[in-house]
Amino acid sequence: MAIPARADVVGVLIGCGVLAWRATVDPAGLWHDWPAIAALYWIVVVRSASPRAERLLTPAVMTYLLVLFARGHLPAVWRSYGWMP
Amino acid sequence: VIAGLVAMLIANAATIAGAHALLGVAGTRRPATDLVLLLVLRLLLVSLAVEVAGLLGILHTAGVGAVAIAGLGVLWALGLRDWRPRFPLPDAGRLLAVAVAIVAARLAWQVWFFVPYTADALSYHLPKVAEWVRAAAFTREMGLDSHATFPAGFELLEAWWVVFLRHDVVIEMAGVEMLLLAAAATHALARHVGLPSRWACLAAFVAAMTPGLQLGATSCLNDVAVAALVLATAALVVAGAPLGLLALVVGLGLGVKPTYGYALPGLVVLWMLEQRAEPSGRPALGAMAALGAMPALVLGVLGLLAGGFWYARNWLWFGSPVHPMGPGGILNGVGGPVLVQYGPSWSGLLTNLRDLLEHRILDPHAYSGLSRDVAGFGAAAFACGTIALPLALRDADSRFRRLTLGFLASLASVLLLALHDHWYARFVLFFPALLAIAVAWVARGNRWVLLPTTAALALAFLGTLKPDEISPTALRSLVDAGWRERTLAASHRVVWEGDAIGYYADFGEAYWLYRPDYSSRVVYLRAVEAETLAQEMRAAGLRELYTLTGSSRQRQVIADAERRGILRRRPPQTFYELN
Repeated sequence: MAIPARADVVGVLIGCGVLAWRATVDPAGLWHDWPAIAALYWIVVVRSASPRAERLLTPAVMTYLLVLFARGHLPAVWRSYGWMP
Repeated sequence: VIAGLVAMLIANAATIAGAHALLGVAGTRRPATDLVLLLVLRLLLVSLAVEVAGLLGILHTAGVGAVAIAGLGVLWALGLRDWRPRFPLPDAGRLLAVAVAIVAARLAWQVWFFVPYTADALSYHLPKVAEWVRAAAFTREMGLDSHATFPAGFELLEAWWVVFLRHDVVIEMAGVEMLLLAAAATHALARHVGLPSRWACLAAFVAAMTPGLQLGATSCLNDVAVAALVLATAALVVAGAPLGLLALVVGLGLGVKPTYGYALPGLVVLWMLEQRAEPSGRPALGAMAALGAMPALVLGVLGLLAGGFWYARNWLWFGSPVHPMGPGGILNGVGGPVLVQYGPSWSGLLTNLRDLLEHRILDPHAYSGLSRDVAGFGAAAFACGTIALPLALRDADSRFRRLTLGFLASLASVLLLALHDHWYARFVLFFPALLAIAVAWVARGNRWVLLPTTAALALAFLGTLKPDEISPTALRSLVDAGWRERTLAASHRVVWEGDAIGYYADFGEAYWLYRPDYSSRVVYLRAVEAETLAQEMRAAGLRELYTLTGSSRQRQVIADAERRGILRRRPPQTFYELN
């Protein structure tokens, strides 16, 4: 689908803005920082303008974020359920 | 029990029939919106029935049943006799229907086996329900918690679910109703932005699986009700509903909790954006305004009356409609820390927002009824929704962008007005619905997205089997107990004999002392010295009181009473007997 040029520029600028913000505030490292990952994804998707890349990249990034989420969340759930000390 | 069960079924059928009758004259003629309106009208009828019964002193099985049937009689006399459902239920598809059935069965299990357990519910939401049920009327006594005088619109619905059985075994149904309203409203919003029925159903399901909503529904807290009413307001706004219907839902929302009002700026933004939108985008507005003007106006007045009742009561009794809120907020005792913030705080907005985005959205703790230290948005909102939202904004038309602007404004206004504490994120549980709609939007065009979405929903299901507040051992004890005696009081060693007890603490688990069937009389003691405490107890015919270690003022009085031989402690918990 066609993306208007202005939206393209604004999208990339927002993505870069988020990356700049995360570079200044986040001590956790890029691969653990979801706003940075989302911003990178967004820049790639908007810049590539390739439906096929977007088709595969979108669920892939979602899955990555899901793993990121589960790593922090699941141990707390196991502890709450008494399945882990 | 059988008579109470029959009365409960009849009264529920009466309110649903009445809501259908009202829908006949005030409906929007859009099936998705009318389903939302039906649930809102049912909430209005239940609220009014309990309020009337509470004011007349007939808040018991026969009294509430009589009010419900009299209400039906009024509708019949007004010519509103068409009580048949007049719209098709949404088509979810077979696979999603199975998932809904599994979640519904799980919710039914939780309603049956869970008991009131959150600190806020035990301390100030439910003690007044217990007082109402015991007195069969609204009472001036609401307990000793500083929040006891807060609006109690949701407690009306809880009272409805306990009054017929005179037991709290299905009290959680009040929250489940609100979860249903949240799902219906999300479905209506998804339909509005252009999703076909099945995908709108997926959006509704993803939203309903939001962990904060799932566990909140059975927690006896009113935050799910607030989220549902915010979503219902948004659904009516985008459908171009007349102002009368908007006043109806706004009145009910403010009557549930002032945090509903915190989200109103965003809903006003949404309303203004919709008003400015091209008329072709809202084809039903003219017809609806013409058809629904007078009935909608009447319903709006009734909604404002039902919700405004609490503010009027506070104004009459305490001199301020927002009592105990003052210019300094609500403090934890004189000179204590702020419990509820007064007015906006820009630094609070930034702190809340940053904390939400950097920490709580990852839900780093187990889910609890109070959403302590988590966002409670869940993996679907986080992993799929945050990626899907910009894609949907890029690809969807202006209706989705307007909706997003309204939701973002509501999110910002709530975070601006809410104190940064362990639990503020439960005030924005309406927001994941937008992310759920975005997920459904993107998944419609890219089926691969369904894979991580399904995994995220499975994670949400797993994480909401039980709240963190109930330990595995306590849950086992609830399952093993008979329904008549089911309570967490014994697990916390709050055990006593007799049918009357004093409660002497500013906060805490007062509700447990009533017992699940409200057979115990609880007397709130307000003495400030040992002698008057003993006099208060004797005047109320009490032998025993219960207190909490955290209530320092009361503990000093008790220590003095122990020294002077007036009271003696009874282990293992903090019970004291008169000598």
